[in-house]
Amino acid sequence: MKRYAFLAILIQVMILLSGCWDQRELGEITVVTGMAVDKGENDKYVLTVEGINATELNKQTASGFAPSIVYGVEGNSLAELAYKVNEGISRHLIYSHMRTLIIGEELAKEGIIDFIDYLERNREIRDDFNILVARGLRGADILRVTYQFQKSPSLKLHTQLDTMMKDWGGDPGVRMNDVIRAWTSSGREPVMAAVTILGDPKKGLSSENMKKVTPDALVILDSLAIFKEDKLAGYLSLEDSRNYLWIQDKIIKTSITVECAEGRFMGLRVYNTKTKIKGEIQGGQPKIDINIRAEAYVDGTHCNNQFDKAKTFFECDRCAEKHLEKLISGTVKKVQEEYEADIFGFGEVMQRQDYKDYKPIEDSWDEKFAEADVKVDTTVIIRRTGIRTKSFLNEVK
Amino acid sequence: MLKENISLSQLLTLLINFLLGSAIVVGVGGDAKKDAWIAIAIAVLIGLGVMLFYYFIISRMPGKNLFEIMEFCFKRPIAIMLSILYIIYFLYLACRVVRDFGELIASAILPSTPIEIISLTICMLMAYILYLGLEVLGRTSEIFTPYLFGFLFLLTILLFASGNVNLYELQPVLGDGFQPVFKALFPTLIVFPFGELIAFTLILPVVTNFKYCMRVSLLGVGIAGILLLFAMFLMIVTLGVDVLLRSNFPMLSSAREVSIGNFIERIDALVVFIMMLGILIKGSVFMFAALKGLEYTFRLPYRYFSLPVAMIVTVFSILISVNFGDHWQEGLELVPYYLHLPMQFGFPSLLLFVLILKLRKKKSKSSTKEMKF
Amino acid sequence: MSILKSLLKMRKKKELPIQIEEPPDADAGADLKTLSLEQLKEKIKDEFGSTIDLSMDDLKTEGKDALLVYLTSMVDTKQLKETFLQSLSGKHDGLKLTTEDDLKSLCKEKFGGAGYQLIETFNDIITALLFGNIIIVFKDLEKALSLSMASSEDRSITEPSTQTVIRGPKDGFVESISTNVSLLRRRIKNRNLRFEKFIIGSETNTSVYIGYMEGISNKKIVEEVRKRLRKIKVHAIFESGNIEELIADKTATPFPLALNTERPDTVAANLLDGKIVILVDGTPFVLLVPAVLVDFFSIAEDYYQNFMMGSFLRIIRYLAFMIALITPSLYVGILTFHHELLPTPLLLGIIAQREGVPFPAVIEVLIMEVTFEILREAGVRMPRAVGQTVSIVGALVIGQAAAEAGIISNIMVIIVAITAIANFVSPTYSFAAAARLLRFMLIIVSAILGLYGVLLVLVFIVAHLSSLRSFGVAYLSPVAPFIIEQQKDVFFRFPFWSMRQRPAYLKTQNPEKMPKTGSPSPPPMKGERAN
Repeated sequence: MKRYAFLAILIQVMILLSGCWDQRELGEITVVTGMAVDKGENDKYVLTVEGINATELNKQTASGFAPSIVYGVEGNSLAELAYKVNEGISRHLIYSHMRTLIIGEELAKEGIIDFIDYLERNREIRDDFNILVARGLRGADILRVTYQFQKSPSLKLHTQLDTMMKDWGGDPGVRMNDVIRAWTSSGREPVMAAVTILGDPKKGLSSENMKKVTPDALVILDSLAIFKEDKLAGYLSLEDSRNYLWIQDKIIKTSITVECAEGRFMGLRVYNTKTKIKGEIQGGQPKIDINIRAEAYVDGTHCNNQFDKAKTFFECDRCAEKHLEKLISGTVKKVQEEYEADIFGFGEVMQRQDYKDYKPIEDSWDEKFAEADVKVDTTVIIRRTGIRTKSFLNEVK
Repeated sequence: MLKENISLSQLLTLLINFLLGSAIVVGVGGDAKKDAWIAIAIAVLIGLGVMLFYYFIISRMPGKNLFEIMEFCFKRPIAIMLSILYIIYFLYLACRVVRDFGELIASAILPSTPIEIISLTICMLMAYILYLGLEVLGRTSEIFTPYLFGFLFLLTILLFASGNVNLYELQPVLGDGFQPVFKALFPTLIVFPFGELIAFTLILPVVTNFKYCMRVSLLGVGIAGILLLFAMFLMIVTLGVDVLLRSNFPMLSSAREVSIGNFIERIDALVVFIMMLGILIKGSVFMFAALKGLEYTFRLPYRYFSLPVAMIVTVFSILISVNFGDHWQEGLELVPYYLHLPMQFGFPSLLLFVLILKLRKKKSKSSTKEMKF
Repeated sequence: MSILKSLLKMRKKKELPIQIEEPPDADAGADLKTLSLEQLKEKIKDEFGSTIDLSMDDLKTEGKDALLVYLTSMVDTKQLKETFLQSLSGKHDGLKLTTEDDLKSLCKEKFGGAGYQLIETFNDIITALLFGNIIIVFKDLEKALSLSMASSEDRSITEPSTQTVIRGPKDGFVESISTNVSLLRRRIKNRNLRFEKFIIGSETNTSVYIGYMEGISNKKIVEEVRKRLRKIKVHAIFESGNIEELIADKTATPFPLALNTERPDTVAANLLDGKIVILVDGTPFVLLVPAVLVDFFSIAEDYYQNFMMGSFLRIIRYLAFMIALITPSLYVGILTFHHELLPTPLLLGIIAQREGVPFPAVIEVLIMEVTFEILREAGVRMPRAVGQTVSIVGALVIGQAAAEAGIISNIMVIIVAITAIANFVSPTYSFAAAARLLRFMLIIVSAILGLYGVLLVLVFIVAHLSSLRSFGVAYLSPVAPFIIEQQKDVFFRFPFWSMRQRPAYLKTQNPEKMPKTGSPSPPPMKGERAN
């Protein structure tokens, strides 16, 4: 019995002394919240990471130093670079809280598919970070612009895009998963949100930028980047980006401005909307029906509408429907003509609803998409008008 | 030697945990792509048949386990040879289960911890449980089963709540016809996990209320099958088929999708722990089957073998394959044909045949005897 | 295991229990008739030596020489004077004490109903003396008269200091075993309530009673309790804890295998469920066997208040136990292994707080937990007057100052505090102690293997729990083995009228507590048919 006890103790001591393989004390780590990948000068990539200086984010411990460190290294594979970054950063980097990945425009034009595999394969990096394109800039520049409230640039971007998507819908809400899914699917091309810097990127570098009411440099959501395969093909405006979301049935809330009379506008807040897409291939030509149903309330008007009669509501409904139809089909047409890239995933709809006819044209879907006959049918229902019925406008003397 | 018994509810939970065990970890029926759930649904029906088959063998001679029935059919020396084959088979399966788990832990939560340590710790735990006996195994599984259900329920809710469920991923149903479904079904889905129920031929005889045994075991296979089906459904609708097929551990990947309000995120580590319970039960059941074989061969209480056998499983769980690809290939291409089919269906069918013949002979003998009296 | 084996061996070796009705050893068993009064006096003096509390008086009563012996420390002298001496020195009515029958009739006349006893061996005299009896030996008579006159130097019945309730009876057991028995008897006025006496402890001769309900309790379990009590052969029993360790099915476990309580209402309720109570003289803590894990989470008050509240509090208790058990190890595991499990802002907040803390998280936790255990122990052992100071000083100094000095982080203080408070929720002290011990094991393992280690240990604990038995009853019943009918009183407390069954795992003789009555309902309305 004594021998066994001795053995047991020996094993325990061995495990205890050699153990803690995966242990990383909080004092030894730096949390990475953002990453930027750019084209390298000599090698394939430059990886820039943003490591958080946690003490600066806490009100009690903050002492006015920079909230994060941004540092980049150059090399051929992200997997190696992710650890090589430590040549300039003192602590272990933890990638599990990464929120934002920014891809420089230059690199995006050349193709990004190679390094995404690392991001998907790595167990630590989450699958649902925002993936963005830096329009006209290097990704690293975006990471360096500071902001008042959320001191970490990448966390700020994450929140900003999220809020934007919920309130108005400019951000396509694309996560890495969606990009990969779009690549692997024959009936869809990926999109990403594109951001850019308003102002002088050089001035955004210091924490002085945080002290101004209007910062010298500010990262704004600029447009929607369209990819063909893994290469950046072009950009769509923010308005189109919202329409794209609408087709994707991802709009949570948005506002539209409808022309109710000449030169006069009416603001509608859309709070509940549902999009259905039907697809069919007729004689080799794809036919797509987009059906949008939206509920809204009037949020301001320039016209003298009498919102105490049902008829006025119906008139406005029709008006808004026409406007919306124009918006949506305009966006689709633009994409069909300019890019020939099925970012809307109509091909997937075909695959689901008309598998037999889709199968033969699977490989040349993007050309078919450009010829597709897209019909948009909208129903807008204005439910209420805020806390006023008639506008005071027609009583103004 | 103390006579051990487990209750019907314990049998039920053992069956559920056993079938979910590693099947839910590695994912089954992937060959059928979008229709994997159809493949599983059919497999469950066949699984019920498999369970009936094993039950039928055992119910011929109530109270006797597989090895004792072998002795009845072929005399002890041959029975010992066969049982040694089965011991090795069961231990190999235990090794595979432990290895699956080790790979899961190593690739998902503890990448730099040596896989030996993970194998060792879980095997020690199994050894302890088996040293305490089958009853303790039954009770442990009974206690953890509600957690399993609770977890699946919670995961479903979280996935739906975080808006990751795309029901259209299931379409088109049977787009490529039944061909891929059958490909997934035979033999992989039948032998894994349903054919592995052969281990229960050693547990069924000690169930207290043998009368309801058939009903409960069918119920167990049914529930586990529905859960597997549901899990597969969940994985398809959250991940999509492409990601599902590319994932080593699809359930883990789908749990990673959960993200609610920047607060409930990255619960994959928790999922791993729930999976661990299934693995623990499954590994223990295989080890128990092997221990029973040793008990039969050496005529010593099986408890004495639990620690040594656990150490063997630890070592061989590492040695059976050099890397993950090897392990995967072995499990999908070699084992089902060369190991599962003969051990799960070949020998038992032969055994059943001989058993029925012998029983008939005995019956006619005894009836003629009766006539004499 | 070695402890267990040696214990088993020990038990095998022991054979004869010390019981009052057993025949005494041969050498000391001299009969009274062989001894004269003088010799007897000498002999008693030999036995007791020069102890000062032995009183031996010659007296002449009923025309006979007699010897009155008692221990002054054990006998109520006031009662002795008032009842005994008066009645003996009363009128002399010419009764002659020559035969045993004479003695009997004297006793009947004078001490009828006072609990007299006629004893004839010397050993019995010694035992009787030790239990506070007075002995009168008449000259030339073969039997001595023993009268129970034990003084009751007791604490009065007070509210139990552990297991207090808001609503419910406020009386608690005391040190005197006869008071305790009366407390139970008053609650259960039933002829089927039986008590049996055992004398345990070769040096202390402590009275140990077992009590059970005839016709309800499982006879096999009662017999098993008797058997185990008889097997005990130790020199001293001071507390029921001694007995608990000696009769437990397994000693190598941190979990208590017998429920101890100070509350008579708890005991009464459990007796009626078919359990067996073990009372030990000299302690207010009585044991209830067989105990299952669920018993340690249910208290009497659950049944005195609204069933919803009762159920809620019970769930809180389970939750608190889990918190007390795993919070520190989760802290270590998540903070050093699984950073991704925390939301980003929380992780950043904790990092900011821990900035500058010199210790690894596990050391930090161990320091704080040990410190807290020391504080707690100090709080219990300190004289009442300074106890208060210790807790305040402890909380202030250790918590605040250590956090301010940067030795530990603020969040650590929160963790330790929540663990400690959760631990106090446990209604039975001995069960909470298990959580206190296992916590350290969990912390160390989680420092090596992270949450995987925590779960490993938790499964280990569950396996261990399911292997435990208390008097042959599985410790985890009715959860595992699962009994569906018994779930009414496990995690929830169902309404009183619906809990009709006694615990099935006890295999009681009469499984039903009460007839099916249905839920109480208002009188039928007009036009409605009365049921």
